[in-house]
Amino acid sequence: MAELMSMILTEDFLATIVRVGVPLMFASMSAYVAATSGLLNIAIEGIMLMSALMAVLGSYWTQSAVLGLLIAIASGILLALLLAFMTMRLGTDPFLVGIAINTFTSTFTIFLLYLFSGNKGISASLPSKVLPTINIGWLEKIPILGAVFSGQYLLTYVCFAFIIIVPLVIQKTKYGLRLKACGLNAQAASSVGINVNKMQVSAIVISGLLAALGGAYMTMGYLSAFSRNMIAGRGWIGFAAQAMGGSSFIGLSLTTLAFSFFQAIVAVLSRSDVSSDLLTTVPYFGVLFGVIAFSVVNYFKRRKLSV
Amino acid sequence: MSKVKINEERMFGVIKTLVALLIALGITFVVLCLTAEDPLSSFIIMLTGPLTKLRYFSNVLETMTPLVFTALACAVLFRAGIFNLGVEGIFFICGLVTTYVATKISIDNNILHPFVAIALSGIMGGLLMLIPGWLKAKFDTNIVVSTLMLNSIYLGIGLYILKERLIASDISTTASELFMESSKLPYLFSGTRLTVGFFLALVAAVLVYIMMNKTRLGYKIRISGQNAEFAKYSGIAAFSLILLIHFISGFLAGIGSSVELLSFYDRFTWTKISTHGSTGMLIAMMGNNRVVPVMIAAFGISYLKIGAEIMSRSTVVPVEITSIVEATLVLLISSQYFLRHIREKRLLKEGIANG
Repeated sequence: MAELMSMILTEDFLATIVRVGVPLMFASMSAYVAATSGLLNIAIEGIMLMSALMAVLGSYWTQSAVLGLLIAIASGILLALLLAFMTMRLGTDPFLVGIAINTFTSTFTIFLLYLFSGNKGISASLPSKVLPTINIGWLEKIPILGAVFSGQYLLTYVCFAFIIIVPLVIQKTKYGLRLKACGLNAQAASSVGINVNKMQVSAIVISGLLAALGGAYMTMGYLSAFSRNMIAGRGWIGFAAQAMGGSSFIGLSLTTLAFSFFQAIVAVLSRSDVSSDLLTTVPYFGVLFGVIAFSVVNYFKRRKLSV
Repeated sequence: MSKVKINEERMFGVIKTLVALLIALGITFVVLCLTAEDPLSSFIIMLTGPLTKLRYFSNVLETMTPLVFTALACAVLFRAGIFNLGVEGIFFICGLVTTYVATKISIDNNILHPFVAIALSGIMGGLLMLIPGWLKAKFDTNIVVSTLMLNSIYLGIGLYILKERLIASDISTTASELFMESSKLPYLFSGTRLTVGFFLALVAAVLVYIMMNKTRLGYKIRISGQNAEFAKYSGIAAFSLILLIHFISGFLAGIGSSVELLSFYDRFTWTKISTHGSTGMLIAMMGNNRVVPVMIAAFGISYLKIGAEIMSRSTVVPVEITSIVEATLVLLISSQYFLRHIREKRLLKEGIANG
């Protein structure tokens, strides 16, 4: 235990939280934007997986990290649009579509991976590009802050930017307020002349973009190759954080931070001799207890109200 | 009048499925054109391959066996409107229960031994499924999230148990000891690998059909799926119903896992969540959670998988190409409005003609 504490109370550990937390935060924000407009994006996990692969394939084909990133984003947005089309135009249950997309991508990515790399497990044979790491000179000199905020991947700073932009847009702009109106009461929104469909499609595109960035981060920063099912529930963790944070962006961020903490512990402990199989379950236990605690609190709130 | 309407609705369902299948195969063909050297002959091999040899056709039924169990396990819950994704995790962890019985407990009777393994596996599956079920029934815990997290947790714990307690001493890969001969399910016919497990799958399908369509429990499940509020006000006790169907679902998944292992494996070799659960989920959706269409879908998907496998031996195209057909079918069949406007136009015309 003392050993664990000594591992946690370091600057390195804070940097690790950021490193493992970025894809989770992208996933949470993706879920948040969709949910604000009244749609549930159940396909985040699948979108992340697909764009993680497309980032590798795209940057391998074009030999350019930026173009690879754009291809990853495009594939993520396409999948998100498929979700929107199936639920809004063809009246399919969003859960069904989401599950179908997630199952599809987990197999189809293996299909593509094998087709282009001849390997069903990992894309190591494809020389793909990664996005640069950014060192901020003046920041590095400040203790703690320097370790956390300097020397991270490019997409980490993109994530920081979105953490500021997303709540600002949702809370302060006309667009954001309209989006909220669609989510709170679609009929009322439509009666005051808001084109609900159009708003929701725009939200799902943004949601797809955010999930795609999370996916691309996994293969263009966090790691530099794709391996099968590498998202490993990160998209669902974002979904869970949204379900718990509800409409509060701060609640969402704190929940995601807590989940990142568990992921970071795993990352740190995996260097020690604890069974790695048991260790991988730690973040999932964290999320599981999180949703249980959340529902228990709600349960007692409801009982209090009805008494 | 109403009977005619039901028949017509059913006809529409069949037509919709066939059109969806054509579109799915069309997309597959396009992908083949982009990837295979000789797309047309690959496509034909994929579609007719399983019929060319008795062994291949038997492979279809072998593939179908565990999928029937997982699909039924999903269908029972989905029909009640509960999106539980836990079947694949249960399938994995129950495999270890089977492995324990098949490697550690010697029962010198080749009927009793598999029976004990299958029964314990089923009971374990049912009990484990009660965890998310109870949380859902009592606190309304988000079951999508809880079951997904449990899947990953079962995988981690399962691998730990496998490596610590059940690991083989005679080979170096991550696998259990050899299953005892007495634990394996007997073959149905000579010349194929089809076992009694296939027969058990058919029995399970008949029992679930009877349960869903001929009993009060089935009626309650269908009503709660259609309208949870109505079900509540008509006195259906949601709490016990939710618990019961979770147990049944987990029980089916556990049996399926056991049957799969004792039919086609010599040792436990899974080191990640197998696709049986997720494919079963898709099959349940394709069959609209009704037993007969689910069985047809289970057969169709297994047929396609074997076809793709035969094709993949002679081309660079991997068997995962079937994911395209699966996804397209699920999306189009479960869509409310796909082809709906054509049907409505026709009904309108008929209405005008009939005055």
